Amino acid sequence: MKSSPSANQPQISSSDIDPAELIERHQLGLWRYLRALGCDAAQADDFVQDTFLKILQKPFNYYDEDATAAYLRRIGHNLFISMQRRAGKVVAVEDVQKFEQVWSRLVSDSHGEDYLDALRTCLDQLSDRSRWALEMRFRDKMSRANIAVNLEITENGAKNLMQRAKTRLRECVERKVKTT
Amino acid sequence: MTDAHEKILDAFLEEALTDARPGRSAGDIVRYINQHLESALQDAADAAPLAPIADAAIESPGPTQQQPVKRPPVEYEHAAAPSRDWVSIVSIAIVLLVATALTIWLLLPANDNGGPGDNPNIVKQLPPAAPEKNDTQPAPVTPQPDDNLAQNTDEVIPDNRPRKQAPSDTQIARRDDIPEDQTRLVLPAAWVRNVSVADDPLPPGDMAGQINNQLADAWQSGNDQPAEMLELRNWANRLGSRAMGRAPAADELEEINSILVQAKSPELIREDLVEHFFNKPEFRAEFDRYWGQMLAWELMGISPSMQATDSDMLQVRDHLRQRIADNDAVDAMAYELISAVGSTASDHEEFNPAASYMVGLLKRFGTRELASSHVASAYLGQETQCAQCHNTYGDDQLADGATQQEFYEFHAFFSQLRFEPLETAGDNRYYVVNRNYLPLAEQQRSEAPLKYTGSDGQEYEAWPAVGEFELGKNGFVAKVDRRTELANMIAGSPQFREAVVDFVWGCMLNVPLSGIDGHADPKMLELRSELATQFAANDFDLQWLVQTIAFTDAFAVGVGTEEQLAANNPFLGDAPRFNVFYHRLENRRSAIGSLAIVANAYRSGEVEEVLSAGLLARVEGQTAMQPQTILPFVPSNDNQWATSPRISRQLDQIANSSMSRTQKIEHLVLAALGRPARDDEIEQANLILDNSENERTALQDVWWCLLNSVEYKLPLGVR
Repeated sequence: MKSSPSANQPQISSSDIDPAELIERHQLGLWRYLRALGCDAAQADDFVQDTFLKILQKPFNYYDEDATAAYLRRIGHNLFISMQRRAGKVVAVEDVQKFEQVWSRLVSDSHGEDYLDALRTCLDQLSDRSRWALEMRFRDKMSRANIAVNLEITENGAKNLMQRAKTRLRECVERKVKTT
Repeated sequence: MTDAHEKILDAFLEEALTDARPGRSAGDIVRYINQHLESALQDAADAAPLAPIADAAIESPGPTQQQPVKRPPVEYEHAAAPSRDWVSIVSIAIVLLVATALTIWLLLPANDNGGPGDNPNIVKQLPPAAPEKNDTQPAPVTPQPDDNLAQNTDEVIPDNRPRKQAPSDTQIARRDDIPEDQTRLVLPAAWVRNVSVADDPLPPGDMAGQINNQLADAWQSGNDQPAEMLELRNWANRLGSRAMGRAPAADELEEINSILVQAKSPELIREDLVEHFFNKPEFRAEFDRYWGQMLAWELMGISPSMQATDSDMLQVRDHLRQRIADNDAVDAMAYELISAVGSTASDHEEFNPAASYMVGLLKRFGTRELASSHVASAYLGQETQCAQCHNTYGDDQLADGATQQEFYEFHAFFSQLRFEPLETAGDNRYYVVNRNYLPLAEQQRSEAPLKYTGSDGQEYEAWPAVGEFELGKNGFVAKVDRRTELANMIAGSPQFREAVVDFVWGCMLNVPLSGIDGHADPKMLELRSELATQFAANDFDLQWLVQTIAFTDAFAVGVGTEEQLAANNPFLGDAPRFNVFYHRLENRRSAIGSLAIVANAYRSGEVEEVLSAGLLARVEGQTAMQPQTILPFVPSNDNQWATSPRISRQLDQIANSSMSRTQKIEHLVLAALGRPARDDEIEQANLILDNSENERTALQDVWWCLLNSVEYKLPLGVR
């Protein structure tokens, strides 16, 4: 179905928008989105600036923050995919539509601050052991084998422990996001 | 499919546990953008004006008294002088954006919802609308501001456009029916892929492994002995020719040979070769060019033997080449071509190279009906052309599958399509646009049937539909953009991805998976379906598809023995199982045979007769061989490559080099065949050179002989 944001919403010409302000408002949300797509921090930085370059090269209409954020995400996503492929990598591409739906549902403020707050709260509710496992994995970038050694369990056990912890985090975050 | 929330959680977890933040500030990004804007402005200032467009012959679909649409040029933002100060740059950019918006606003009509926001260039930049797609039923469309829209009793907006008569499908909207202030584009909706593929995307090697297992099963159950695998050297030649558009040249063989001599398994060497070809910029450019041309030919119904040079075809070809170079998805390309609106003149502010597609189709097929039926054929694999006159369920019983009603229902998707002549510097160019299709009297304008006379002489009505996809009866563009909806449906359909897979497979292996003239092996159709699903899972990536097919055993087998071919020959009506690399039987020409023919011709003084007989030619830039007789499945760009300026320069270099005559001959043999020249070949080539007054010309003839040799063509599947 076709729908046009112009039907009910006032439009603001791009000339009314301060590019620096636009970047300031949307940089973090876009950066987080690209990280979620699979970019490392430096790649996300690159794609963020290329995304803004792309949209500021041409006129565009501003409707509201959410529409602009969604537009930026789409551009960023396309850049990410095409540059990955240009590098000769076969990219496991999520269905953009589905990914966008999940992102919009969970990251309702477009920038991810609410999600991050919810996640920090949920992390505090994990057992020390589970949290330690995740810290080793995501903060210290340790291999699963090393995590298993530190926890004195098998590699498979470490995998299960982290997977269960992440499942609890997901459920907890979803509850909190839904509540807010 | 990877869980989207899990990916989001992982990213946020890392951030929560490491306090990671963007490494660049907003100020850094602004500076980066300014540097690029400055560079772009400088480039624009340096750019040469566009070359004029060549005349294009098209039978005007409208009345001869039509007035050309002249559109005042708009100012482009890069017209301003660059500045090195980033603040100035941003200011200039903003001023230019405002100027552009104001210019467009002034040029466009003020209507109920008009103004700058309706500028199609700006609309194009809108955030994508949230998809609410219904798979089978036409979705209601939110009314949009549209100056073409006439008031209907319920929800459409009035217009004051005078209508002398309601246009019919066969009558192009008259220019005097459309006021000057109401000629703006109605752009296709922002496209969002509507394909959900349950499978995880597999890399080419893994997918080819699955295909190989299926092929092995099919060969075993059909008692088909696979032909011997090609030598790796010949496989590399085939890969170059079939995947990239040309075989490696002499100066490229050294790198390839270094890959071939590695102490690795043939599978790993093939992987290295594919990586080499796809990573080498020269070959990557050939890949883009080759597949851009092949796709353009296929989608426009042009066979290589037509040697089409039509400007619209060339525009579409170049457009597709660029899209492939950008690694764009094939379904997005299809959507763009089918739904395109805009000008076909490159110096027009609403220039859209994809718009040339519909113009080119009309030129190629002559009638709108045939052009639309080609869309069904090329994109959905549905042959409907017979049904224009013959009804499966009617008197004739001639058409296979499609009824006359179905033919016209498909054609009805194009009932809003109009071609409006543009006068741009004397060029015959068109403005492709969708207009309201209103064939009935004013009271009945909520319905827009396409009327046709059936094979029984009765008059019937058809509304846009294909299979279970129906669009309803409304003909207002803003209510239902028929062509765009069709493009959406096609791009997301399994039939489309299977058609692409079939086409690419056919280009690379001479025979499509669906066989020739409908003679298909069910196992191959199953294979096609799985490959098509993975093609979609891999984001409709042409590069992925070509690499996957290249890794299959079907691409690696040799041409086999005559007995093997006789047991399963799709050109004689068999369903292909690809246990041999199929070829058409042509006159055998070994390198020595070809060289001997020309050497004798030189000696007898009949060289011109021999050369003009279609075997060989030495005239630069002309077709040397008759593609339809000698190169039925070798892309004609092999010819183009052979006569290309690059080859010409190389021949010049060889002729002018300090190499001995024998060394020159050896060099050419090595370039064409990838092996040292044999003594008898050197002898025959020397005879050609001895009898020629011009060494450069003789070397070119030697080159042509080599390209005509069975050794050169055998890996390509042509004898």
